[in-house]
Amino acid sequence: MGRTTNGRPKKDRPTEDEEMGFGAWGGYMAAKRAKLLDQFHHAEIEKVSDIFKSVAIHVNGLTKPPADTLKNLMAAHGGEFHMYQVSGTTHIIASNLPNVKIKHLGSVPIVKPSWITDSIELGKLLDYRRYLLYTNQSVTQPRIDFPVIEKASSNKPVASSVAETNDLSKIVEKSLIILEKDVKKGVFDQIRRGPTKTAADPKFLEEFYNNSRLHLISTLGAEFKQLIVQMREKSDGKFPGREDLICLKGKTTSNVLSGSVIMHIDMDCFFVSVGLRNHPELRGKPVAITHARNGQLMMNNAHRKASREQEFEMYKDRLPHGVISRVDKLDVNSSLSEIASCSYEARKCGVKNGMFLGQAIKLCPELRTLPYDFEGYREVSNTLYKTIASYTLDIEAVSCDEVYVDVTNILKETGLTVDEWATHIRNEIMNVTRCPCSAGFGANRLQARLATRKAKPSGQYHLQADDVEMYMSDIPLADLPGVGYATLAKLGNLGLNTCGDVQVTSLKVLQGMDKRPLNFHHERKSVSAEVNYGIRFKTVGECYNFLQSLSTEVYGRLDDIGMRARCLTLKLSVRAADAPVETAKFLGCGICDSLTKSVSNILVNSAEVVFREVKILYDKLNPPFVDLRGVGIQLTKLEKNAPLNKALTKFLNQPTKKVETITGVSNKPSIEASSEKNCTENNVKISAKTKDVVKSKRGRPKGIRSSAGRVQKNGTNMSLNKYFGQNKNVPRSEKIPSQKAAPLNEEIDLSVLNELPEDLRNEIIKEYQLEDKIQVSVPSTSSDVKNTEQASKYPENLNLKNESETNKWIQSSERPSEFDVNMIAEHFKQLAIDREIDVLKVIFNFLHRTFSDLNCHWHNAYYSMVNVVQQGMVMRYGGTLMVDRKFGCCGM
Amino acid sequence: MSGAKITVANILCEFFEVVVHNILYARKLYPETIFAAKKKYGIAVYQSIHPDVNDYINQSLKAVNFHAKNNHLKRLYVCFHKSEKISEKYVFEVLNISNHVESDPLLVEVEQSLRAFLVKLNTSQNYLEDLPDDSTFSIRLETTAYSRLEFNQEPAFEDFPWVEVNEQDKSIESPDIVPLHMLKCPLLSLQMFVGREVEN
Repeated sequence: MGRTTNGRPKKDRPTEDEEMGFGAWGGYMAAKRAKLLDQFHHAEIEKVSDIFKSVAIHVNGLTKPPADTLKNLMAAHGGEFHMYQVSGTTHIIASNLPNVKIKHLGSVPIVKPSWITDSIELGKLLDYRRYLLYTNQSVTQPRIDFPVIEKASSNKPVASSVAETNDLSKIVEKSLIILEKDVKKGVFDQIRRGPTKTAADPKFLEEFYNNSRLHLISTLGAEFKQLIVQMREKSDGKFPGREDLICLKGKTTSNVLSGSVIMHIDMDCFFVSVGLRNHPELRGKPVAITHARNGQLMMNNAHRKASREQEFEMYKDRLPHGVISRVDKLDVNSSLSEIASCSYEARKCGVKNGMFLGQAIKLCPELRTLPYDFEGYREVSNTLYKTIASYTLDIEAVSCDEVYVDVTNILKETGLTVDEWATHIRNEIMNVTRCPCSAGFGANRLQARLATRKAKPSGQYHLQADDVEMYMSDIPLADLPGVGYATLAKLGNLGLNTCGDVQVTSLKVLQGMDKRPLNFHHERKSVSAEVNYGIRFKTVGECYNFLQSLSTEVYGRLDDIGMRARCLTLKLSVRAADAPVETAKFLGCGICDSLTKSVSNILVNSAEVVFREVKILYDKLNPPFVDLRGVGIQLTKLEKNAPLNKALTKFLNQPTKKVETITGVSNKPSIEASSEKNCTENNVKISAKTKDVVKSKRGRPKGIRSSAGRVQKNGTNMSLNKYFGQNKNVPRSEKIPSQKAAPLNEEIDLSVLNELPEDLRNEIIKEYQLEDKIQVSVPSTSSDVKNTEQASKYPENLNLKNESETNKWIQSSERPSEFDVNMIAEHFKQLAIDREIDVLKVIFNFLHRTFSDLNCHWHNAYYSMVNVVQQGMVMRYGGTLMVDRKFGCCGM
Repeated sequence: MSGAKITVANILCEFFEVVVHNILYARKLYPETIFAAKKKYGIAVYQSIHPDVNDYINQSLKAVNFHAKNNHLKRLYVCFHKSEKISEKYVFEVLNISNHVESDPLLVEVEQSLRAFLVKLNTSQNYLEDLPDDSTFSIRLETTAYSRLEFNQEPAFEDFPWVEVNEQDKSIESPDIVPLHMLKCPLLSLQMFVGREVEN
């Protein structure tokens, strides 16, 4: 606009605030703050005391008592109250603050609201440090410790045996012993299902997941989403169920469909129905699925009782004002086992899913409990999905017992009405799974889902387009998906409680118009595993072991969906500082503070990586392992695994394979064990030639053996040197094998050994310590790397430094042995593959020059070496190496 | 980070420019008079002063830079044609470009390697026969399909379009390879060799 084009300097421009007339007060916000403070000072509140003189608070978030009360209290007691945090704010009052926020708050202490109330009660300003919600200091910094007396130990009359010492550590020790005793008692409780393990047990994780319903629900849900994606990919477009149905019904296109029809199928009290399959005698009775068998605990231990009470107290403390805790109505002996699912009969008595068993028993004394039947859930879910999939693949899997299906096409093809179809599919599901289900139909999935509510239990309901508004108007807003506590509270404030209320205010989204298509393709966003039950470590080693197995578990899940991750988060729940050591729920997590730490920019593609990163994070957080109550690993930023390049994988695996199969053969090593060890590091080949080699070895004089052994010990590039230097007079056909050390890319097969006579084989196995190699492969990449290095140095030695050695080789015999030539040629081929063609060219120039003075046997040897090398060249470069192909007497 | 990336690509481009000019000079494709002697990497090099030749090379190098800076350049060929058929080709295979190297901050090592590379280039003469009179030359690049797509979408390169070479006339059938030099620096690995027709 004109402002910038007329060239007026920037700073002359009036700020927005000035333009609005707030300039004199220093801007809008400053004006607002001043006004609020002014209002505060002029509020008609009688001043009672001056306790909070020079204290200025700012309330952040929900507190007990609420901010308004605090404001009045501050006014009455001479303090200041800031609506916004300003530089004059001396304290922040909060009950709960996320870590992130604390970082932004700077150096102002964050204090619990009870500081204010307690101070008023006592009539003097208390030291706020006792009421700090969190300290701003980092853990590593030293801090002043205010002795906090353990409630448990101070309330409890100290036992006479301990009273003498009065030593806190002894008390702690004792409580640990009691804990252990309790664990044993737990064993007694659990006889029917075997002992409950703590996380220190290596089998713990397995058992934990086998007994976790939440785990099952989440994994099954994810599995079926995955299954649908797979089925869609593989689908041949034929649906046997649908075809059968058409045959059965005959084609009658009587009904005209307007728009699409979505079906929502929900199994009725899934866990209970599945459980009842095996317990028909319980049908019609109130039944609940839970881990525990009865609602009362056998707790004679006073200590445990006390800590339970303390924990319940703390739960209440931690809850925001006005919310009633689930544990509120429990006495100390009630079971804290949660009810996963309960039958409609039980629901009539007021029992709800997620209730603690102890409470439920009180509401419905004749409640019968059934154990979980995880196999059954899996089986029934599977059958459910397979049944539906035989009609259509337009399925959106929600969870193990809930599914959306787009039935538009089915209805069109079969000509069935919605009701006919619903009866058919429900009967079929009932027949195959022996579990009842409800089906709701609507024009979109919201309508379908809400229709299911009316259909339940074991019924069906089609929400017709004309009835939608009427039907919706009675639905409480709380039942809508996506409407949570926060939204509900806001709507409640507006006086909106049912959809009907909202309809009046004409919010179109809530009138049952949900245009989102079904989500057939589902991709996981994160993979995680978390355990907060039974975590009790006694040593750091146990802790690491557990992290290891959890890492394997979480990686297994990642691998199952064929993804890899870029980000890893470790979540630790640590016993809250003032929480009792022993939790109310047997081996539960009690009241915890949680610590999280993430690392990104990594590539998680193996369980080892997961564990390595987790260990680093754990060490950084470094919580006291005895106080650990929960551990979770989460992998996020998932990406698809790149399709495996087979050739590449093969190539990458090659080194290990090579090491696996390498054996020392040509020489009998000297007696020292060390040389034998070294010997296995050398790349020597067992090929079809093995027999000859072994035979020649046997005939060899002792002196040569030992020297040859030494040669091997000293590594490959030295071998020629040593060999030629010391054994000039020995016929070369026997010695040459000792110099071969070049890495051979040929596949070496230990099965060759089987071809040998038994005594020979045993001898070889014994001498070269092959037993290990035959059974276990010893991956030793380092030795392989060493060999490659040696290989690259080798030719230089051969050509530049050791020309004389080559000359000796040439002079030692009339004709080269085929074996030597092959071996050297293979080595050269490897050089070509390793792109060392500069060296190769020099080698062949040299060989050509040297061999040109020799007879045609040598020339032929040259040609065969060239041929082998050219194979490597063609593999790597698609062309041959330019070498001299002719000698004076003969050509290739 | 991206700064360092571009630097390596630039080094490579500069080097390729010198190399291409010197190959042309060494192979005597054009009269010696269109070349001027310059000094680069501490040795004498030759640079063409013919505007058309230079334009072709410079335009090609823009593409080299584009692919190299994204690490998608695999090979650069300088091909000599005899009546539409490639008689010989200089191949520069980029094995590695790494952008995070601290060992050679002043690029001394790279410069020395490139210098050695250029000196070796002249040795190729010994293995090659003189080019026939009616020869031409071309610069070819081997890159990834993705990088090619990206390149073709870039409007900046519209006036110098690249054409895909079909598999047959891309290379000499089973060429004879004359290794020239292998450059191995932390920053850059490059192999240079000449492929030529097998002499019978």
